[in-house]
Amino acid sequence: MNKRTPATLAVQAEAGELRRAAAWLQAEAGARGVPAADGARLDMCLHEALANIIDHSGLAVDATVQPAVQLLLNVQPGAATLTLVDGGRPFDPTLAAAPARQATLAETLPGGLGVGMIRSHADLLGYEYLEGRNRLAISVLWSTK
Amino acid sequence: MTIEYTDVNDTLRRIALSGRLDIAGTDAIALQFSAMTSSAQRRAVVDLSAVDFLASIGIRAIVANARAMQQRGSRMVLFVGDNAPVAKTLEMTGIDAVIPMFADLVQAEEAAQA
Repeated sequence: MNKRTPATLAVQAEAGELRRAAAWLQAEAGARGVPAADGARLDMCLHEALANIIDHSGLAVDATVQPAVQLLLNVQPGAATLTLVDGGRPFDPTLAAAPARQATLAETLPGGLGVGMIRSHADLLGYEYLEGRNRLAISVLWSTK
Repeated sequence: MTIEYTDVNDTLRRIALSGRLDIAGTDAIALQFSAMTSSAQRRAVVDLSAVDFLASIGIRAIVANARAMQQRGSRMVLFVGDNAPVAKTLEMTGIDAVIPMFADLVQAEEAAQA
């Protein structure tokens, strides 16, 4: 395998696909030399981004869009980029508001954390809506010295 | 994903989660987690030291059960040990500010019973 060749996987917008996608990412990132801690950050971002697509894109109830979600992993020295391409409703997680932090447990609503977790685990985020598809690029960087 | 509990004494229960707290993992333990935290007599230390992946849905389950305990006049605290990724996730989401989090088990148990 050429380590520079992007890895790809098509998944449906279903919760049952999350672990298959995670296993794919772990295998492909490991084979391409992504450090374990940085692969774990991508793993978290993949889970939260896919969960958002499943919950909010409308794809979970519209099986006519095929493949629902395309995953691409591109690894360069010191950087790995996971791109999610989906045909659901336009949604830019780089602009979405994260929930406000609450001072007490009673005020804390258990939701809306995923976007913030993607932002905090990734080093770079890029989003575009092109030809009817969302493209979210999530990058992690590491030192090669 | 596994969940187990130990009753430390008449007023304290330690609940240990281990594995991947993603959507599937959270679904697998959700009912047991709610049942284990529903005791009116016992406060709870939730041990996350062996959780190797804490997604937002797992955090939601923890917050929901902590709120339910508080509404019953009880209390939940979190024990993370040396699990740095989980501690970091709880800090970056601000959960550690509303549910006390400890790296030391003795301190966690003392705080739960304070």
